[in-house]
Amino acid sequence: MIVLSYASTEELHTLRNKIEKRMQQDYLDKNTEAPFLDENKLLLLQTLFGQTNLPDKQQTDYTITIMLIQMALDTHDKVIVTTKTDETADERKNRQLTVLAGTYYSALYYQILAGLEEIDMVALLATSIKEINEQKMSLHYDATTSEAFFKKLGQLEGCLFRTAASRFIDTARLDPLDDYCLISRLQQEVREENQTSLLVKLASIIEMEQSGLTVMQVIQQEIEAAKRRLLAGLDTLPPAFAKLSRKLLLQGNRQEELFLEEG
Amino acid sequence: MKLPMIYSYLKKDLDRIEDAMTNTIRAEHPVLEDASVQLLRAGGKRIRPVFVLLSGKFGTYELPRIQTVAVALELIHMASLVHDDVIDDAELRRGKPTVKAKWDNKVAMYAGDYIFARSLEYLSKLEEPRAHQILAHTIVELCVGEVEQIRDKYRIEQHLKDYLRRIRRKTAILIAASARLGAIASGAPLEYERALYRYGYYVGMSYQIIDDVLDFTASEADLGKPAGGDLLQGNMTLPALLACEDRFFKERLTQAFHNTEALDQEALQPFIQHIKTSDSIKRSLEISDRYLQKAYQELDKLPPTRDRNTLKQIARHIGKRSS
Repeated sequence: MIVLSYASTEELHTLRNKIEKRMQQDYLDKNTEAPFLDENKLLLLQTLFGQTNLPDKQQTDYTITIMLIQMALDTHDKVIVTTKTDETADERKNRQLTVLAGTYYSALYYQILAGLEEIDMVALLATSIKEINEQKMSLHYDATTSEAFFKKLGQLEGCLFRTAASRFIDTARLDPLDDYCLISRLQQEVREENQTSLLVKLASIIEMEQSGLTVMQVIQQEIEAAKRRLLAGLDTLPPAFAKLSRKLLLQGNRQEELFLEEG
Repeated sequence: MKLPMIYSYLKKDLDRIEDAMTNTIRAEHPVLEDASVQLLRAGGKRIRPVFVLLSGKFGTYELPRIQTVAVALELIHMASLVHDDVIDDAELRRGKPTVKAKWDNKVAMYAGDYIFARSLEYLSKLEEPRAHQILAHTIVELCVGEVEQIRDKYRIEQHLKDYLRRIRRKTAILIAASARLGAIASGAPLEYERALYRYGYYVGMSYQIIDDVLDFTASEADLGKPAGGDLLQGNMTLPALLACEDRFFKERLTQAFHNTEALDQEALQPFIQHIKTSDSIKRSLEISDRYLQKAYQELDKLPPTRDRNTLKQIARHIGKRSS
C-alpha cells in the first residue's frame, strides 16, 4: 500500500467507501469474498482526472465506474476453470454467486453512466472491456513463455486505464504505466492466499520452461524487472504520473516516501 | 401453427438482425470467435427481437434504429445464457454442447463478458438516454433476480409472491423492456409505450410459468434434459409451491431437501410424479392464463393493426405451447 499525505488518504478512504456502498448487495456481500479494490489503480484514476477540468462529482462518478468494471472483470476471473465433479454445496453456491457478482458490478457501471446520460463513455469503456476479454483469451491460450505471459498481462492490466485516459489526455506518453499496473497486479497475486487462475497458468508455463524457479520467485523477478522499466520510463511520463509512479517504486521505504511527499 | 409462422412477414428484417448479430460478435481471437458463433448458431426463438420489431411498428419504423435495440437486447440475452450455463454447470443447451462444456468455464465467462460489452458498444449508437436507463435498470434487476433464485434454493417456506417477484426479474422484465425499447426507438406515443411494456411484462410472466410447468410435464426429448431439473436444483417453481399446499408432500420434500448431496433424479421421481398428477399443474396454467388475459387487455389500448394482431397471436401461442 502506498503511504499518502493525510488529505489524499482521507480522499481515498471516502472514495473507497463510495465504491463499496455502490456495489452493496446483501446476499452477495454475505456469501462471496469481497473483490479486491486496487488502491494503486484508484490513485492512477485520481491522478488522471486531476489533470482534467471535470467537476469533482463527475471525476468521482467516472472513478467509481471504472473501478466497478475492474472489479467485475477480476471477479469473473475467480470463476474456477473446470467445475469439480465432487463440488460441495458451498463450493457450488460460491461458484454461482461469483459469476453473478461480476455481472452485477458490470451492470452497475452501465447503470451509473446511463443515469448520467454519458452514453459515449459507456461505449468507450465497453470497447475496453471487449479488448480486455480478447487479451484474456490470448493470455489463457497463447502465452507459452513467462516473458510473453507478463507482456500480455501488462497490456491487459493497463488497457482499461489507457482507454479511459484516451478521452481526456494524450496517451502517447503513458506507455510506462502498463508496468505500473503490472506491478500492482503482481503484488496483489503475491498477497493472494488462494490459487488464482493467473498463478495456475503461470505455474504451467514455468513447468514447461524448466527453469527450476518457483512461481513466487518468477513473480518477484518480474516485479523487479517491471520496476526497472518503470524507473527508466519516468522521464517520459507527464509529471503527475511520474510522481505517482515514484511512490509505487518506493513502496515500503518509509523514509524516502516521506522525503518525496514533503517535496 | 409454429411461432415463426405468426410473424413470417418480419422475416426479412429478422434476417438483417441475424446478420448484424453475426457481424457484431466477430472476435479477433479464434476461440472467442468460435465460442460466440457457436452461441449464435444454437439459435433460439429470437423472441426479444420480434417484440422489438413489432413494438417499433407503433411509431416511426426505421429499421436501422430499431435493429440497434433488437441486436443489443438479443446479445445481452445470449451473454446471460452463456453465464447461466456456468452457474447451472450445464452440458447441453437446446440439445447442443454449451460453451463451458466444449471449452471451459473461463472461456464461457470471457465470451459472455465479450458479448455483453459488444452489445453495449452497439447500443451506444442509439442516442436515447432514457432507453439506456431502462435497459441498465433491467440488467441490474436481472442480476438481482438470479441472486435471489440462488438465495431461495431449497427454501420450502416461501410464498407465491416470492416466486412471482423472482420470475418477474428473471424473465418478464427483459421481455417487457424489449417491447418498451422498440416503442422508444420508433418514437411511439407514451401511452403505446406503456401498454407495450405491460404487455411484455404479462407475456413474460406467463411464458416463465409455462416454462416451469413444462419442466415437469414435457418429455426429456423436448426439454433436451431430464424432466424435473428445476426441483433437482432446489428451485421452487410454481407447480412445486402449489403442491406444497399438501402437508404430507411438503414434509417429505422438506426432508429430501435437508440432504441435498443425496438428492438425485431417482430420489425426486415420486415428487415429480406427485406434481404431475396433482392439480398444481392445472392451477399453474390458470395463473399463467390470467397473465395472458391481462396482456390481451393491454393490446386493446393499441390501434387495431396487423402488428397488434401478431402480438396477440404470439401471446396465444405462448399460452398453448407444449415445448
